[in-house]
Amino acid sequence: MPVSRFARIGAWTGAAVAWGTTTVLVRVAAAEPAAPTPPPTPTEDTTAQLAVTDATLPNPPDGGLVIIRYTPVTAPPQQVIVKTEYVQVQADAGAAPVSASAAPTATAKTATAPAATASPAAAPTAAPPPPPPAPTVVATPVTQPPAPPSSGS
Amino acid sequence: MIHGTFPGMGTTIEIWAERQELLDVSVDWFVRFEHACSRFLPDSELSAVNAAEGPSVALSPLLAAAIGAADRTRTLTEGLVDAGLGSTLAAWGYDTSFEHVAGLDRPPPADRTDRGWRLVAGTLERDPGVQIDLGGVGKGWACDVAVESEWARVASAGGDIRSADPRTRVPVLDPWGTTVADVALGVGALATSSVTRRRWQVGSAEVHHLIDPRTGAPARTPILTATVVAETAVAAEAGAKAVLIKGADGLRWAERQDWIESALVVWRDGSVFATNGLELVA
Repeated sequence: MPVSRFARIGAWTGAAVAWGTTTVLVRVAAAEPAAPTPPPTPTEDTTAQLAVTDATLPNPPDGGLVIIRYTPVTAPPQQVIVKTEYVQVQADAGAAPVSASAAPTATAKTATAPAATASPAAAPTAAPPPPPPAPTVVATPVTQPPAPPSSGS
Repeated sequence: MIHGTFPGMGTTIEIWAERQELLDVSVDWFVRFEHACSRFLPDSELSAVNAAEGPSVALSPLLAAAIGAADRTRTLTEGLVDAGLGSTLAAWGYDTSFEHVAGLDRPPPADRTDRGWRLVAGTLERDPGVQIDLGGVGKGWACDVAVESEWARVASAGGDIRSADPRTRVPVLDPWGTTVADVALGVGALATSSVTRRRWQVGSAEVHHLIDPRTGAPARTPILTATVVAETAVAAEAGAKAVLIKGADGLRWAERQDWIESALVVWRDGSVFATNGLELVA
């Protein structure tokens, strides 16, 4: 039948093309073994500019920009802190008591409730493997309200 | 009130508690947290998870809760604060606790492979190569748990502070140690993120630990430190990091987030700017 003859011709033609293509690809692969292309490595010029950008002012929020201190200079400041201090508490707990300093100022702030928070739903109840020994804690009874912790620096 | 201070998680942890027993419970909590969630303790659960082969790993409830908090911060910050960048940080040389970071001779190869991770019913599913680093978000979450569990009235870890005491105020320091704002925090949380700390040498440049997930490299920013006030310490920490990575648009972005109460930045020239709404001690 004509239809099956055409189908046979088509099938043989397709097989021949596929065989030819495979042969060519195998020869190319044999001639030039595939090697992973190394990812580009940034130059040191790139990383030298990582620390700061040139913006001189923040883009102001819709509610306005509050300027607490304005000290424009032409050059960025020297790096002031390179390493994090790691405070090691002495084994003698009485040697370095932490004193309560100025009493915190009472405030009547009402915290606004964020629409989305990332607080945990419940305290974890895991029973992890035995923990390492507890650190030495310098504990100081204070008669005043908590001294303020600081943030930054 | 009892005030306790002790080293942990590569920083100093401070606790204010009503009684000695509650201080002890708080200390025990931070020790358990670090033992489960530290990227640097070789026998921690997180180290085992990061070293595990295969696309999924079952987590303990504690680690699952911590990574769940990190997952929420990733959503809040539109992906800017991503706990899945542990391997990127390690590639840049931050692969051990910071006091032992030695630096690199040259930057790592650029790797902007899109790597994902997700938490499904207590199981971490991740693409090949993804390592989890809870970083400051973990510290904030540990403070949140200590205060929300009513073990501590105030908990502070590495600049992340969570308070249940309406009298709490927090002096915010610039990189030179000068108080630039005395924040009337009250009940809530405050966190500061900085690029002037945790720096090390790569080639001839100094780099820092805040990776911008959009570039896979330490963030380029004109901000030296960013401070955010929010309801929880984990949200404040994530907000501070995001403001810092956003750079010149950081304060504008922060003002538009309904989960951020206020934000303050120390600019690279030492100037200090803030959003409206930052409550200072009178």
